[in-house]
Amino acid sequence: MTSRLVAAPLALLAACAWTPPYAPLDSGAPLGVIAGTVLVVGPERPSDVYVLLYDAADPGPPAGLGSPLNFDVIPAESFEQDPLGSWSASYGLTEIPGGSYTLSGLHDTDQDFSPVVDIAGGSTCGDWGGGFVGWVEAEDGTAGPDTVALELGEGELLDGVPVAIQVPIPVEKPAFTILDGSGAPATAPVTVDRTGELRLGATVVGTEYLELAPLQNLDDKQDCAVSFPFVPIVSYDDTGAPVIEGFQPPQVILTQLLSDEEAAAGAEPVRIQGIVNYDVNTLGVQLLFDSSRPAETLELSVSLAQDGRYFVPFSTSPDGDGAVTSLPAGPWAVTVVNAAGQTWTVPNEAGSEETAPELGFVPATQGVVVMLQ
Amino acid sequence: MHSRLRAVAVLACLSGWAARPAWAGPKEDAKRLYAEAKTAWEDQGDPARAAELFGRAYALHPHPGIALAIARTNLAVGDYAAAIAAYEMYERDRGQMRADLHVDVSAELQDARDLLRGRATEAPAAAAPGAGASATEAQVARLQAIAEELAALSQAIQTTEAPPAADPSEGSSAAAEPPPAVESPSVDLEIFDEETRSVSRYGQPLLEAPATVSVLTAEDIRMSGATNIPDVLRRMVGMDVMQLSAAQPDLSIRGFNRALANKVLVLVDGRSVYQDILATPMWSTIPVTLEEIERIEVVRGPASAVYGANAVTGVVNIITRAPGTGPNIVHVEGGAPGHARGTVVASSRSGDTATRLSAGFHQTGRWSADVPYTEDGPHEGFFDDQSRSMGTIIANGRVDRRLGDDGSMSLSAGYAGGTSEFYVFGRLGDYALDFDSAYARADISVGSVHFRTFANTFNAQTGPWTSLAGDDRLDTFVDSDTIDGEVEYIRQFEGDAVDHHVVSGVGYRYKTIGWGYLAEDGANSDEHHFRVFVQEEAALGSRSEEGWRPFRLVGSLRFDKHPLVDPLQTLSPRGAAVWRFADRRSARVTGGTAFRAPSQMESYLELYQPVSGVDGLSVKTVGDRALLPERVLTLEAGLHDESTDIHAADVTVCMNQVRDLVGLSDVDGDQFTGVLPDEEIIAAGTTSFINEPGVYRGVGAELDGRLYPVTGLDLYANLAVGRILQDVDGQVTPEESMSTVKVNAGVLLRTPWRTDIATHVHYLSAQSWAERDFDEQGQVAITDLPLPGRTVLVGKVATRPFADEDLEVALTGWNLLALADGGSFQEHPLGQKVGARWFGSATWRF
Repeated sequence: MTSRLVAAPLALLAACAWTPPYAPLDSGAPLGVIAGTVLVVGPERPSDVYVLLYDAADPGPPAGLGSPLNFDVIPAESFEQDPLGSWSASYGLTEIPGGSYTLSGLHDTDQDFSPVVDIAGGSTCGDWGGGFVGWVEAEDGTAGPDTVALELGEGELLDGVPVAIQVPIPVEKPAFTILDGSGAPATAPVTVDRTGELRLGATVVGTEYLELAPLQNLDDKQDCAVSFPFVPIVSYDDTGAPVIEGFQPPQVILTQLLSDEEAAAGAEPVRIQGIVNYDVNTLGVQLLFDSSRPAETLELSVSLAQDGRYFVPFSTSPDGDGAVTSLPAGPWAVTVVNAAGQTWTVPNEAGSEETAPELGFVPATQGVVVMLQ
Repeated sequence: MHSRLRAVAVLACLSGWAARPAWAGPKEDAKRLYAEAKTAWEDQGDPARAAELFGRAYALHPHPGIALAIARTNLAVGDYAAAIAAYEMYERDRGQMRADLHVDVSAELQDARDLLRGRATEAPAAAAPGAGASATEAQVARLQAIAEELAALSQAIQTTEAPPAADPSEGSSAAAEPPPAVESPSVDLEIFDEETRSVSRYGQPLLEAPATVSVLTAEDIRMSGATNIPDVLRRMVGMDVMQLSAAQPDLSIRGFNRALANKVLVLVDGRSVYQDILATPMWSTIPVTLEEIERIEVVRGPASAVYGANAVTGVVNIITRAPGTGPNIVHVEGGAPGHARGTVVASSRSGDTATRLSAGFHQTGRWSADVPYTEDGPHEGFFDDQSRSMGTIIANGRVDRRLGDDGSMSLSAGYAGGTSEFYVFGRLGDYALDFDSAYARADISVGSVHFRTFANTFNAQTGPWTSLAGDDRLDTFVDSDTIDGEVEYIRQFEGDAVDHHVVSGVGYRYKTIGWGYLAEDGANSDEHHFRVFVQEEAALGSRSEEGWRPFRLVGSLRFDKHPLVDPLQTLSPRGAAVWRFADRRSARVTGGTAFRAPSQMESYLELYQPVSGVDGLSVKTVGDRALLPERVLTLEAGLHDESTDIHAADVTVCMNQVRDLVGLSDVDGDQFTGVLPDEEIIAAGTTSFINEPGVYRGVGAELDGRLYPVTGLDLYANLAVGRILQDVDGQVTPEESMSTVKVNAGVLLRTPWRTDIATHVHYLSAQSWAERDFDEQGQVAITDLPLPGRTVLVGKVATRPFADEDLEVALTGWNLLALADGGSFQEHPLGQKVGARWFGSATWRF
């Protein structure tokens, strides 16, 4: 249908003279838009692709534990192939306050990503990652592509912002359990002293909803390496066989769990970075070559403090910034962030009595909290 | 047209009317003239003077009761031709009067014809006692010719047009025999009683109406400065009107307003224009122009006992001009922002058939844009034109025909089409509508039986006003059709001790819909509705000298069979008692219920609704076919006072209890569904329409007054105060989306210099809206959004530069305070900021 307006000259004059001003409805600051094209490298038509917006001051893994503020979904059928063989589609993020942001991209090849379920957030093995990147010079003088921040003014339209997805994710999420004193996966709160240690053990995640690649040797799942606790630095020889060049250690973050009352009162949870104790050579050898050892028995030891100091997560300061001087007693959660930016947190939805049945998990081990005395 | 004008001129000459403006003024001025005429006739014995004054009154207020007075006075002075013409006008138009005011004039009319015929055949020397002059043969022949012409043309007389100055030399005072003795010239001043046809389905004075009613007339509309019907209604007491966009005024009564308001039933000539898809009238799709409206009646309070579903907080009944009455009109107006409107109304009569045709266009600019839109993207508009909030055309036609002595038929059909902007629920936000809307209606009355039927059709393409390039997943279609039929029996029985007025009827309505937002696109949502209703009004007590009885007891009961609703939920009783304790004063108490049937959206929706601020996240929102209807119980008491000729006042106190309001449930269930096939979203879960727990209780008081201190000056003021509390399991919280205080006041001055000035002030105290939305996790979140108090100031100056007063030019400013910096305001926290509108207009009435 088209407009059927019988336009009198008066009407035309009146209409031509008017341009409605932009005025956000909520009377707050004008909200902006970031839009552009997402580019996926590869000959195959992509499946679902996500563009995620982070606060630059609270970035997502592996640089932080920030959650995306907004995201857009670009379904497979939206992509068109360019002459060079890559695939592109438009994306748009709206209602954004002015500020500094970063953009990440995720190509969810196995379609198990969900931004609203913690355990399904982020990538799994076989997915591809990327973002809005620029050429960044590091402090050591080296330069290369890296995520850069976008500055968005109030009510500003930032169009044509490219998001490139071209990095394969070769590892699985670092799923784990908290081990009790006997070394078995705990099914009840684990009590830890402020100067004590936590023991985390690898676990298998395989459900109808979210199926992570089993904890197996590289040989057994062609391109997916083990997920916990170390990410191998892999290269490939002339025959295509993987070559382990080393291991990148994970980061372990402990987060205070607030009560509903504390959260309602606006309290901020205390968060520290655990000190990971490992012998990379020993564990690496075990992971890769001791096939007789069940993967579930892989362990990681984490100390809460080092020399009596607590470390702020992702801090680059040698003394941990010194911002955290004491730890509140009560329940805490544990998050492992591997070098690929994948995370796993216990407790999670798999340990929730409400959601675990839907997810197909046995909730006992994934609902465990660390009780700080 | 020429013949009609000539007939008017002839009639004026015959009756000796003075020259009067072509503009119909308020009937209070006519009432004053009428009273003066009665005095001249009854106390001073001067029927000629009375005839002149009646004529002037008729020019201001063309009412069949005044035509009767003109007929009788002219009969008394021996002006039989004029008397015949006026009698015939009365007979033709008396259907516009309340039945209890009807008078059988057949004998008087026959007398007038006999007298005229006799005069024409008698000797030319016969004297005319009234004038004392002799009639020549030529004069008699001329009178006979005039009479014949009038007899032929009287049906075509444009009754509201004023006659030119009378020329005494052409008076028909020459008569062959003395005029007969005639009774009192009229059915008394009762014809000026404010009437309503909306409370009981038949005409009755407000003094006897078993509910609270307010009436706005065409004159009120003319000087209102409004460009749409809800803005006309702002000035009425107890009304809640808010604009979310220039094209979307939402209206409720006594609170419970919302975007796409759903608590008021809107009728046009008795035909429901309620859009069942969203349970709202969608004003821009109604095919009626302001210029063809005769009056608007607003019933405050539940009216399901009379009209069935959706008359929850009230009824707005828009009554268009009867074909064959009123002037032809050409109206154009234009101004800012982007505002233009034009209307043509033509009305004619031929014998027993009268026709009215109208056409119009209306466009207005958007108050503001919700997104920082540029032509270069990344947003795409549903329409290329982002500046226009609405652009519609309207065509309407109606034919009325008298069927014998006791029957009538009214056929009408209309079309509205174009584009419009509207805000849907939650943060779906600004939507665009490209629509075609049409109707056909037929009313046939034979004696006490009335057959009514109508068909409404509404077809549209719709979707978000703007969306990011390539994102059209919320664009959809709507095809909605409604067919309604009803048989009604209305009968009045007069007894020695009790008078009865009975209304009963049965009806059927069929609804079908196709809509992309519904499950299976609405394929299985056809509905059949049945209804039966009865009302008895018993008038008790000794008759007054004027003929009315002081006590009235009214009982109404209606049952609606809704395909999805428990029958017990749709039983609607109403009871009322009215005590007319003085000639012009009455008191009333009313108790009644009403229900709002779940809309097709609430019953059948299946939509992935976006979460604000998270582009990829949606919540599946589904309808529920087991919803209870929203229900209201209202008790009210009121006083109505028209005890002087210079004022009218009404005071009402009311108490409401509302339950089972329809809202959205918390989000639950299948939040693990992942990306939906062929959709650009992830479903965070499912929410469905539910009946909210608890009950709302409201109390309020309304004071409404109009004052006509001197000729040409009208004043009005009204005040409504109210409070609503929500009680959920004993936890009581205020519901503050309704302003606690609402005030309206206005002045209309009609100067002797053909210039009218009107100003209106509309004030609402602060509000706070609890808006339901989804948070970033897709969970339901309720946010309290305050709105400060606001004042709308309207001014209009209209002048008629030429002596014939056919042409009027006017300048109007609406919401003038917004011209000042920061003067614009939101009327809903998710609506656009409403600014000022000003425009010039020209109206030619002929």
